[in-house]
Amino acid sequence: MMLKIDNLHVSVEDKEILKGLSLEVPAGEVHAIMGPNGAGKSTLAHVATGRDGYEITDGSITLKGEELTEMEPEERAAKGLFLSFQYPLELAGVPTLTFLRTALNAQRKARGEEEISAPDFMKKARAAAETLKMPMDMLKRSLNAGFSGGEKKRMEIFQALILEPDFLILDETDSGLDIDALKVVAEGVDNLRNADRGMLVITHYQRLLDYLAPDKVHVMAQGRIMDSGGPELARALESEGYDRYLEDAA
Amino acid sequence: MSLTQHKPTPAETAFREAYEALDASGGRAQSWAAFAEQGLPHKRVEEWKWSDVRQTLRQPRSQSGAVESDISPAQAFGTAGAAEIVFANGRLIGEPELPEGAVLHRQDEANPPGERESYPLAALAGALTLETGAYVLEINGEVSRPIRLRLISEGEGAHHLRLSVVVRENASATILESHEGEGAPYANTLVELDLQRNARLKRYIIHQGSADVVNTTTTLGHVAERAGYHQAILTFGGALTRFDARLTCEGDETDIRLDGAYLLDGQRHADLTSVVDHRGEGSVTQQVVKGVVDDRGRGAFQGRFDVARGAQKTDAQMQHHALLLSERAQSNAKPELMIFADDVQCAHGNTVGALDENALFYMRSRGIDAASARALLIEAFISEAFAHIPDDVQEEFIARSREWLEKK
Repeated sequence: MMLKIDNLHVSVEDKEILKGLSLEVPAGEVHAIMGPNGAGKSTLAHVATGRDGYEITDGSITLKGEELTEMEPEERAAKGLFLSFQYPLELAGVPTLTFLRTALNAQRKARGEEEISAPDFMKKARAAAETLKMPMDMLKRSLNAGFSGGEKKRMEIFQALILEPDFLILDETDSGLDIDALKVVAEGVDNLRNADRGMLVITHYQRLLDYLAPDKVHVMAQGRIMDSGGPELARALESEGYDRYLEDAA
Repeated sequence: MSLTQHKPTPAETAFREAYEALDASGGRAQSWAAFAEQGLPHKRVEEWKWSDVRQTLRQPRSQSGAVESDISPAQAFGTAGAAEIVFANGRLIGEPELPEGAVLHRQDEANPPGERESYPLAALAGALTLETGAYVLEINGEVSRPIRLRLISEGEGAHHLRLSVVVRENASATILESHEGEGAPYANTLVELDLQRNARLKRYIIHQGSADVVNTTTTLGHVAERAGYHQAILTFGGALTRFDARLTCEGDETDIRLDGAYLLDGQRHADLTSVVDHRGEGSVTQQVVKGVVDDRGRGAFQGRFDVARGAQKTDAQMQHHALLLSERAQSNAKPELMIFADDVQCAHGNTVGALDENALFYMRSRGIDAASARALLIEAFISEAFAHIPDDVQEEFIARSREWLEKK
């Protein structure tokens, strides 16, 4: 199993947010998580990547069989985990390509691989920029500095194309994108899809899923997975909403 | 506070003894009278509330002796291929070979009493400088080769230096100034600048030495029409460090930059203070100061822009931002704008805060370890203060900052 989350309980300041969440995403598959605000979707993304401020009271998260919960965020990244942030940060004064090359080489070093040479890195960067229709001068600036919401989301996918993770969590990557940008980003994500890689797409809306065609859709509410099904489940949610799951839980 | 009004401290008494041993000519007497009237500045004086010189100089100090050991080759600005002027404990070392258009001479005759008498430490430098009068670095043409100015301090005494820099009409020069200190000396320097019409002076300062050095450097400058003065300081602080610049822009269309960064750890202190007084029309003044303070370091920034009634179209921007890396680190700031003209663009921004934890997590989630992420963020933060200086100086400033960060 690529990503396996088992009976995960997570609290923030003594308030339980995730209440026994279990989920499995095999290699080669794209799963979507949909759910109302406050369901705990972003908490799941943060806990999986090792952000401070969350207490795991029970359960486990494994990537390719390795337990992640005790690892530092950078170790998880080196193991192949990548989060596309809902709100990507602006790093004023940190040039995009310097940042990414530092990150890629840090990951390679942690895996005992050789550093990438500057020309090879540039080749990779150019190819990724072409896929995402990003002008190269965007990459010469500080990371995300002065970027629009949509440009930042595109930059997240650009980073994924460079870092080539084994597993991606996309946290509302579609929010803030107009329809053209959504299409480009979806193409970028589709480019990353292969038999060895898994993805978990967190979203409120159907529209990204129209492009990505997930293998499975999970409904999350009240800190748990309440329902799972095929792409038809996403369409049903779009028309019927989440009320059913909220009532179920109550 | 006047020495006649309060009981002189042992340090002030030692300064008096040093003064009495010197030949009271060349303006010394006026300077001493001005210092004696004011005494060593201390924290109850508003301008000195974050830099208590009287408290720091508790112990009496005699005049520093000459530096006995050989002068080591320059560390700062070492690769710039510059001409070099070296002062060690206030004494000129050797005969500087200066590029064409630059001369260093001594002005023995008394200068007319000037504004230095208004500033206690400037007055002290005038009173106790070893050489009567001042050294004068005169720039008469477009001097392209940078002039390295090394101010070396050693021992445990006190030494005072008075240096004037005169840049004649249409002339230009770059000064690469390093304040190098070992031991626990008190180094007090007065730099008087006279930038004449259309003159340009760039002055880049690195101050790095032992934690016990006390360094006060006062710059008093007059800037004429269309003259430019660009200054950037990188200081790592000491027992007490104060770089104090007072510029009067008398002419129209002056161009001033006063950038700087202080990087402090241990119990080091640094204070960057400046006042720019705009009197002509259409002047541009820009200032970006960054501070990074760790451990129990103490940083201070005081910046003031004055814009006189007739100084229309002045464009003056002041930024000071500090990062505190530990709970006990301090940074105090007092930005001030005093504007008496109505058609001006003046603004200041000031922040003091911690590193952005969200940014740190973001970088770590991409695989960069916590220490490297922190260093990258801090380096990016500092670099903004060096964005407007020539590439080779910028490289040196960033390299030294990085070295400091890597020690953390």
